[in-house]
Formats: sequence, C-alpha cells, structure tokens
Amino acid sequence: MNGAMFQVRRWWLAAGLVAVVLLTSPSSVAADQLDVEYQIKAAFLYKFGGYVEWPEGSSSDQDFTIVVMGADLLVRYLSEIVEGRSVAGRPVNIRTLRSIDDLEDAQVLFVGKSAKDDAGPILERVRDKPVLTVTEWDHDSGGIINFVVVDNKVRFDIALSSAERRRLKISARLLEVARRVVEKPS
Amino acid sequence: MSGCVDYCVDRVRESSGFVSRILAGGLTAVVAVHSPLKAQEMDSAGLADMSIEALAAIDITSVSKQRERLSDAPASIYVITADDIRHAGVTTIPEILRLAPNLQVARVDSVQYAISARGFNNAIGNKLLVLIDGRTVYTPLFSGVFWEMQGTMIEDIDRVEVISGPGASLWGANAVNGVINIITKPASETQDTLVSLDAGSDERGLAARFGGDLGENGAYRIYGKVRDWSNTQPAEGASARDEWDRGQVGFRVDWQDEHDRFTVQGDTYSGESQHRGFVQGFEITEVDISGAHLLGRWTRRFDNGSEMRLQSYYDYSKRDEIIIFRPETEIFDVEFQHAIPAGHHNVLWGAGYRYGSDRVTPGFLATFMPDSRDLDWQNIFLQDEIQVRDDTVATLGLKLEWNDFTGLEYLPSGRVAWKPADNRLVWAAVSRAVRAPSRFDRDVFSPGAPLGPPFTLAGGPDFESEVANVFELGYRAQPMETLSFSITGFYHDWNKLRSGSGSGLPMQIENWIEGEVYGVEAWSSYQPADFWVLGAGMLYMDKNLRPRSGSPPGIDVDNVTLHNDQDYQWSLRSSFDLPRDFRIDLYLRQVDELTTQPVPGYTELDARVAWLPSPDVELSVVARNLLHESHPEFGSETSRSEIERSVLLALRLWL
Repeated sequence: MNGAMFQVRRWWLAAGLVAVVLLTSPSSVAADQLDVEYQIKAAFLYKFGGYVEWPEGSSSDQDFTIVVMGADLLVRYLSEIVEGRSVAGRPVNIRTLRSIDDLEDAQVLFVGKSAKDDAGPILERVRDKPVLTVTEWDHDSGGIINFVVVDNKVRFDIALSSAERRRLKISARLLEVARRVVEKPS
Repeated sequence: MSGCVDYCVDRVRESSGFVSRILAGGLTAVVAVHSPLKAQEMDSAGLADMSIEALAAIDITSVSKQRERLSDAPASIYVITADDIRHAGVTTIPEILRLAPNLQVARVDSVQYAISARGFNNAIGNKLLVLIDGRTVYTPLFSGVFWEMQGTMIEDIDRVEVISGPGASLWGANAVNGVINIITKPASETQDTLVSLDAGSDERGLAARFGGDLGENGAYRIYGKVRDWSNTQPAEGASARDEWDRGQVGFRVDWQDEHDRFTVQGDTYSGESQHRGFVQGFEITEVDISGAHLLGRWTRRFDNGSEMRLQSYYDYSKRDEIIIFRPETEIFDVEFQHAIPAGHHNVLWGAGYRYGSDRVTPGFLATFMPDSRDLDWQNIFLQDEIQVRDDTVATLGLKLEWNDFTGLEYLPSGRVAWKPADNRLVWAAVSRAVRAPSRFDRDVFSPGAPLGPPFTLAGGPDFESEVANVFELGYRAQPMETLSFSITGFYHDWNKLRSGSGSGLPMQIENWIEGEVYGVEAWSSYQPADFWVLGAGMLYMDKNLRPRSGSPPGIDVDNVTLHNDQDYQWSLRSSFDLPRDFRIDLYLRQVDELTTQPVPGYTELDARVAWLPSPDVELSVVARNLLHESHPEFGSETSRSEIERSVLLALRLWL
C-alpha cells in the first residue's frame, strides 16, 4: 500500500483510540491488597479442615460444610477454591449464614469483621458444639482461631482451650504455624 | 520443504528473563517469577495448593504490587493461563500458542508449524525468542524453533507469556519481534498424581506425573509422556508421510528456605517420523530427533531488600533429517541478575555467557562449511525503572552483546507508563532491536550432499545484523469489573533485512532490503454473566519492503521468508460453565490469505465439551476445524498438507 493510504489508516486508528479513551469512565477498582488478604484467608479456611480432628459421629458422612457470616468476598474466593477439591475425602460446601439453622451441620464457622456486632447469638449457639469458629476481629471473640494481619502477612492466633472444650483436636503443625497459642480458658 | 533453504537462521543470543522483569524490573518482579509467590496468575486455587507455612509467609503488599505491575506493563503482553490451556483442549505447545491473538500460527503438517509475531512468518522463523523456564529452545544454527522438538507436561504449564515486540534490553538480540515465555508450575503445586490419556482421529497420547515432598522445604515432580500423530493429507494425491511419534521424560526439584530458593530441572526426549520412501533413487529416511537438558537456578534475597539470581543450563539436541541438513548441537549457558530497589528507582542489572558447539551433517538441500563450529556470546545489561511521578513510571534499559560474527551489538530501549486512573494505562516504547547473524546466514551452501557443488546458494561472509527501530503505543483499561481490553499500535522500521545478492551464482545471502512493518494488535475479555466469558482478539498489519539504496540490481523483495504474512486475523472465544459440572468452550478464528506463497484465507471453529463426574476425573471431547473437511495453512500449493477436521476424546485422572 502506498503512503497516502497509510496516512488515512493511521488517522482512523488514532480516532478509534481517542473514542475509546473518552467513552470509558473510571470505576471503583477492587482494592488489590484486600483481595490478596481474603484469598489467603480463604485458602487457610479450606486448609484448616485438614489439620483439625472433629469428634466421632459429627456428620462425617455428609459434605464438609463451611458457613460464612459477614464476608461476601471470602465466600467468593472459598467457592473458587473448593471447586473440585475435598477435605478428608468429603466434598466441600460453602454456605452464607442466613438463619441459625444453617449452623446445624457446619464444621467451620467464619464470622467476618462486618458481622461483629450481630455475631453474639450465633457464637453462643455453637459455644459447646464441635464447630471450628474462626474470626478476624481485633479483640477476643471466644472463637478458636482469630486472623490478624501482622507485618503485612496473614497470621492467626489459636485459643486451645476453646477447641478442647468443643472436643476438637488441633494438629501440632497448625499450632506451630500460628502466631500465638493461648492455653488458658478465656 | 520448498521454503527450507530460505530458513532464517539465527544464532540466538538469549539471556533468560521473565516477563515481570521487563515489566516491573527489580526485586518484586524477580521474586514473583521464581518463588511460589507468582502474583499475577496466582489466584485462590493456586494459594490453596501452597503449604500453610508458605501461606503464612506471603507478603500481601508485594503480591498486590505484583498484580498491579503486570497490568501496568509498558509492553504488549498476552498471558495464556493454565485454565485457558485446559479449556481449549490443546495437546501441544504450538497449539497453545494459537490462543494468543498477537501470534501468527500456521500449521505446516502433522508436527511442524510456522510461528511468528509482527510479520516475517516462515517455517523456521528467526525473529522470535522462545523460552521454557528460562532456557532458550532452538538450535544456535538458526533462531528457528523445531516445534516438534519442544515438549513438556502440558498440564504442568502455569502460564505462557507472549510479548509481541522487541524484548526490551533484557532479552537481547533476536528477540526482535517477540518473546514467548513458557513457565511451568513449581513442584510444590504439582504434588498429586495425574494421569492423562487421549485418543482421536489425528493423535493419541498418554502422560503421567508424580510429585511429592522432599522434607519440609522441598518438593519434586517427575513425568513421562508419549504421543503419536497420524499423517496429514495433501489437497490431492497420496497422504503425506508425516506420521510421528515422540516420548519425553522429565523432572523438577524445588527447595527453599527463608533466604534462598533452588530449582533443578531436566528432561530428555526422542521422536521419529515414518520412513518417507524413495524419490528419484534417493532414499528419504525418517526424521529422527532427540535431546536432553539440565538446568539449575538459585535465587537469594538479601536483608537489604535486593535479590539476585544465578542460572545455568546445558542443552543437547540432534535432528536427523536427510532432506535439509542434520545438526547436532550443545549449548552451555550461564546468567546472573541482580535486582536493587532504591527509593524511586528499581535497578536490575546482569550478565550472561553462552557457549554453543555444533556439528552438521549435510542433507540433500544444504550443507554447512565449516561443518562444525564453536561459538560464544557474552552480554551485560542494565535497566532502571524510575517512578517519575505518582502516576508515571519510566523504564530505561541498555544491553550490550558480543557475538563471534559481528562483535558488539547495542540494544537500548525506553518505555513510559502513565496511569491516568486506577483502571487505565497508557504506555509507549522506543527500542532498537537486532537480529544477529547465525551460522546459516554465513556458512550455509546449497544444494548439499551428494548434489552439490556447484552451489546455487551460499551464506554471505559479510552478512550483517538485521536492525529495527521499533515504536509502540498502547492502551489498556478495565472500564468495568467484567470488561477489560488492550490495544497496541506498532511501527517497526527495518534495515539490512536478509536478501539475496541480486544475480550471479551462487546467490549469496546479504542484507539489501529495508522497509517498515506496522499494525495494530488488540484483545478483550468480557463476562456478561457468572457462567459465561467471552474473549476476542485481533491483529492487523501491513508492510512496505524495498531494496536499499546502493543495492545491486535484481534484489527480490517478494521472497517467501519475508513477505508471506496475512494482513489480518481475528478470533472469538466463548466459555460456558454449565450446571452439573459441564463446561463448553468454543473458539472461532479467521486468518487472512497469504499472497507470496499463496494460501487461501480460512475460517475455522474448535469446540470442547468437558464433564467432571467427580472432582478427580475430567472427561472431554474436543472437535477441531469443524467448518471444513480440511484446509491448508501454509506451504506451496503443490506439496503442502491440509489440516483435517478432527475429534479427540480425553480423560484426566487425579489420584
């Protein structure tokens, strides 16, 4: 093609580019760091199942169920992770908490930051049940595992007595990875 | 075969590097590639494969910076993810590359391909740098890749980064039109046992991989695979004799602690085609290939925040093909890089040395004189990524390379990335890229034994490097969470392109052509619903070529290796995640005609349906080239193969 035609094409390309720039509008972009933080928490939640032993007879023939309250982002990432995976040979089920009955067959309960104030009755309900309670609060929740972000890393503290009371056995390896293990009853 | 004597042969100077290096330069980039903390492609699923100790050690800010940086890259990069590969149902590396909208991929026969970016496609392209885990994969005789000689466990590929355009100052000479970086997963992510088998109208394969822990800090995997291909058909006449079979075995070991990471990997392969009969009294034996490599890599992070990497590999390959020529090559390569973050600057510097030794037995069409040669290459480079303003980053780089043919070559580049908003990026780049001479350009003689001398074609003793000044402008945006796109305009100003000598016998290989190549590459991804993802890609390009001033009369610009590219190509992909664990993927593409060695344009459709009856079993049916019984993609009308409609049934088991 000759030079003149190239000029014409060049114009068209430039115009196209300009149109595209003008038509797009800024939108809120998910905070990357938050994404990473929740993806790591989701990975941990999925993995905790492999490092904790539930007492005999606690619905071990059904799906391994993780119930989440107050953390939609976490539900999304958890759902991505568990697709095609299993915990202790059981397929994994992720549920958003809608009513107290959802806790019936749960093995793990996660209560996010935004549900802190409403979580009281929920946590009471599972206080003595074999449910691994996980939180991400900045104060003691009475739960077993609490996520904290320390030094830009996602770490967690384990309240051992809380686990023992519910007859849950926590593997030594998980205790080692924890930032802090609290033995005394809270 | 007709184009084989025109193969562009390049001594490839490659200093292995990973995309993130170009993009982000510096520390976090190096970390991203070699540690399990590869940010961009690391999604929830990847995290779930890591150990709890590793999860607790991930630095959230550096990981999120990684992701930001990859999408802030001032370059035209398309990343083919492991998911893309799986859902396209492809079984070989060249077919994986078809998924990149910025690559020209033409299938020549059952196992051979012509692959290039930004023009000059031919059966053995010489302007593309191809790496598998940091190792360059071509013979130093010519930068061309024999695609049937490259393989790996497809399921263990983490991603393929396809950069069109010069590989900045990081990759050196011969990465002129692009860099293809095939990156496999670290051993810690492939610890289960995987068995994959498939069978269909065109090919059959079986692959298995085992992996496990090596103490607390290490992991390994080992794999084996075999595949065979049935022959293709020409438009008329008896089938081509291009049945092939190939087997490969390989391993990878990774080990890491707080400061250091080590990787050792290697493989060995062999393959052969069928016997190809007799032509005019000459026996055309089968093509026989074999090779092996061993690679080691050490990365260390220092307390002051800097990071260094040392890598070395040995590669052996042999290809016995009586028609063209029969090389046996050995390569030994060492390279070092050091990333230093310093305030507003992120400095990356490094050096490399490569030694190549070859022995070439003549084939019918070509021979080399001398028939054996030892060559070496050295390089040093420096790159600085400067945060000029809050929203602007400028990257300046320079690489100096020495080769045994032309001595010193310098490769500067400058890039700028401007982010007017969080979800929009404008970038521009200016680079000088060089395609240095190879043994082929200087030492080839045709015909080979026993037909010559006298010769009709000879390598030119004064053949110089081909040079391009490249200008690129790109825009990338994500206007909504579900829609993203990227568009790049490019202009390559070429000088000293390979040509003949005009007249006289033998015709010598010289540098009498100059010209421009320009065009636009674009792609986009849109998710209209939770279960439905659409992708589109487009490439448009054109070129002007002409003899240089002062050239002898008779220089032919329309030669097949330079001027045989399509004007455009586009593709559309649609993926549906259906209930009951079904998944459907459709891939429609159109490629414009080739004019110098005429091949009609074509439109084709591939489809895959997959079902996961359980989390550990995947069954799929892949139907390819559905729209026509067969179609050609490359080659001369009298001798080329056609690619037929085919179907493949595949089963994957995780044990």
